Amino acid sequence: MANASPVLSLSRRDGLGAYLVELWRRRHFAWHLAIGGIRARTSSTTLGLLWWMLDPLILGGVFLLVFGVILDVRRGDPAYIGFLLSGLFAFTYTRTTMMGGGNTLTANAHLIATQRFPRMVLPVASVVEGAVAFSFSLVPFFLIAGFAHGDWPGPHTLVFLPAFVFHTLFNLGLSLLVAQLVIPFRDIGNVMGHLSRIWMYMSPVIYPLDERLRNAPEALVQILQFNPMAAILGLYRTALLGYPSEAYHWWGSAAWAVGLALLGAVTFRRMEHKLPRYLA
Amino acid sequence: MTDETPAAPRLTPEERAARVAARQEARRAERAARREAERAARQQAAAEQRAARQQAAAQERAAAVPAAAGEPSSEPAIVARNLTVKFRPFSEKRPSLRQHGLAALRRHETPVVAVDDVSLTVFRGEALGIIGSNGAGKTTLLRVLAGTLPPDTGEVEVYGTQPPTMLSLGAGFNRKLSGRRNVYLGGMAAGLLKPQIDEMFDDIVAYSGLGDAIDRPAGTYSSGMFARLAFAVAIRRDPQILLLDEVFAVGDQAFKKKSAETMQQLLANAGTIVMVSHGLARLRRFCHRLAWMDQGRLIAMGPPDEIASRYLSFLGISEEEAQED
Repeated sequence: MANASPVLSLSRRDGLGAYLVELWRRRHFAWHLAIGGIRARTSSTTLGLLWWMLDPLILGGVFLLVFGVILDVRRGDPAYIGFLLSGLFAFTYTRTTMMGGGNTLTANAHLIATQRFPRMVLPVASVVEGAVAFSFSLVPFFLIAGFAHGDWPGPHTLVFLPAFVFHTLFNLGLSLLVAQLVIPFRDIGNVMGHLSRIWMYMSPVIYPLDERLRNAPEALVQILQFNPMAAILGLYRTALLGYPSEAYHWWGSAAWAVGLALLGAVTFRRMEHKLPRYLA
Repeated sequence: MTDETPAAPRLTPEERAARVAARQEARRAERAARREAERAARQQAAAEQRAARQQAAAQERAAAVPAAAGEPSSEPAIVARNLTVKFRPFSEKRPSLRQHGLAALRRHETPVVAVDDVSLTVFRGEALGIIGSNGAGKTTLLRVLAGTLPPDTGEVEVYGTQPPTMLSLGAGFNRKLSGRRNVYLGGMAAGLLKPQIDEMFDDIVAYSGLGDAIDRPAGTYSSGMFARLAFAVAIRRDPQILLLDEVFAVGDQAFKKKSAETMQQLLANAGTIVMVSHGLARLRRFCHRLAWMDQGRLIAMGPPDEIASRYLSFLGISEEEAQED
């Protein structure tokens, strides 16, 4: 009789195929977690969901004041507003999701201890949450950059879609890799904030890096060109500001996105059974 | 309209009074008859309910007191072999900062063996209670059986089509969101799909007894309301194997009764329950067998009364003192 019923062995791990099937089956769970996170974060505020647009608006205002007015990086060029905001909002998406994977795992330790599901659902949900936040920030972007310099959506905006997909895959891979480091070694979390800040200044967010580095050694310039964010931000500026498209931006973004997402997913699946021990 | 008005003045006052009296009499009789019929219907309904309740109670008694052998079924639901779980906790034996810097470099503490070579079989339709002092490894064992904590050694096999459901209050819940959203989050965390939750949503709300509060943020619920909702979400998915960690008596008296009845029904349908609790009296009443754990080891397993009295005498507590849980 007992042999007639199927056996589930809970101490053995699923294969990669079964894992991905189960992950896909849980996609609505990831979506609900992300939407729940978005709602929960502003549920106690009066302005509610409007904050998702006000936040980047204020952030953009601060950076414009410091770098556009006080430091006057581009000498009063009205096109600078679009340049700065596009870089800033896109980089903010990466910065928030970078730590998001690890944070969501510690925040949901109770869920991990009691429910059985592919743990990758949690980092995926946090990247989706960041993606929704980033999409919200496009509204203030076009309002400011459009009125300041006429950077309104046009045919070039279609490039936004591939740029967004590459960027999101890249962020997911990064978030999965950082989570694997941060969960066993919490100390790394303390460094991450500083690392992301340095990374932002080393990326063409506030200024076009090649201009700043005209007198720098050739080797340094080449290393900085290797920065994945340089390629991804290049695509965004084609999409949002109509900059001429460069081949490097395309293959650089695609390679980084696919490479990091695969690496992150494969290594995360290998370590996720250890998670309950680190989180207990 | 106009042809009725001339008729009225032709009646004498006496005739009018008589007619009014007759009408009142008729109405009174009608009302009395209706009351009588209602009373009869109520009595019948009450009798039916009583009969149904008696029948249900009989069924429950039958479920709670299973086959003569004392063993509900010989079919295994969970077979666990030689489970061992070790934790390597961060310990702060030397809290001084100077020594701590060096200690951090060699953080090789002696591992804590939470579950030590435990083997057990849980049968279908059985309620197994796990008792033991704090830190005996009960919760860890339950998590291994739930499949959320892979053991260092040993294996767990589950017979059935569903992995065990661990009822843990509010897993996946977000207290800033409404009860409604939490039902979906909790259900999905437990592996349900959205259409399945859509289907059972009204049942869940009715069972939890939350009513309109379902649209309020869960953070505004009392702990009992929260627990009722979480229990309703977990139990509505008809788990084949239910694992409970210290939570099976939730809510007020009425809800405790309801949840106990639901769990007995689950057992009657060849479901399986493994529960961890310090409520020894309740476990003795509810479980078919008890397992006693101490320091990660399974000390004994058997009939509730026997294991409970051995456990109590080990602790040096008399039966009377133990009644007070």
